[in-house]
Amino acid sequence: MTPYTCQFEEQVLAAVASGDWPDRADQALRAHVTECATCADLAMVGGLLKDDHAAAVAESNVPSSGQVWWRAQVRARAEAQRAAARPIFIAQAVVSWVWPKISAAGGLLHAAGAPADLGTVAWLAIGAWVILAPVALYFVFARE
Amino acid sequence: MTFSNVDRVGLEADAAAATLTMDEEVFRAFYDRTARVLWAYLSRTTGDAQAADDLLQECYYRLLRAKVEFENEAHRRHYLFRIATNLARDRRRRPSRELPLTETLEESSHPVDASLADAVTARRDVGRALGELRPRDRDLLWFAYAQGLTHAEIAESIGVKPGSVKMLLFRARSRLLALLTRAPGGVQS
Repeated sequence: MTPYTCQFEEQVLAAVASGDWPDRADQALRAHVTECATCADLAMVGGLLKDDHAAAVAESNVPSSGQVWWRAQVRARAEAQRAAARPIFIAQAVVSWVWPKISAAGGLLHAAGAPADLGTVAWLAIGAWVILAPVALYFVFARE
Repeated sequence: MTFSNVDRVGLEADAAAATLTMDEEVFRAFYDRTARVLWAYLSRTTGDAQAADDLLQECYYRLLRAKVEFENEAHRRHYLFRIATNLARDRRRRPSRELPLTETLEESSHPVDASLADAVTARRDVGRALGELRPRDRDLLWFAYAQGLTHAEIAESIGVKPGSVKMLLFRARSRLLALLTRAPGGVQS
């Protein structure tokens, strides 16, 4: 399908867009449109869509700009709060997942006869590292 | 000075809330110039006035959060319609109850005389034909003939190459005409 273009297309569109088509359009242009299928199609489609657009704009009932602004602010604030709280939730989830395992491992070490002081200190150090390392990494990469 | 977690969350939230990328006065003026035209586009491209109401709010929210340096009003306006085009496309991909455009038009129209009845019939035919077109064709025709955008502006709003708009528009127009002339009591050129 190759588009056939007519040199009067722009004029036809301008007449439709300005609302001059067909009654107030130039007589020569009207005469041309009766003989040119491309321009006739253009005038018809352009006119129908322009009328439909005017009808749609007339039936629109949009909220006020103040209302839309206020809703956007409330939503942006809520999203920001969720985003800011995410690292805390992640840290809490990591602690609640890791801590029982550390406690259980410490208990096993005691049962195996390791010196009480050594076992406790070592496991506390490992536990702290396991908990803090991912949190620290999160903060580093989240800032970037 | 130290902050509790709650304080920190509050402070970060305030800072982020301030990142709406327009100031209120500029936004309100821009909204007043564009909202009705955007709603008209959304209602016609989705065929659903309720969906247009919902998407309208979402379009402006995304515009307000967009970290884009707009060169001028036209650039901002095209960006807004690009958001709208994408949201309408996403919505079409989701299954939902959708009122056909013709149903919406029929409900909202109460002809009282012959000329109004003719106008309503024409709108119903246009609505039905638009509803049967492919979404991109519908957008092309709407932007070109309802809103009077240039080919470059259409390309920017729907994300196609400017050089291809003419051909795409010609094809879309031919398809619309075929649908209109096939419609009951079809429009005569």
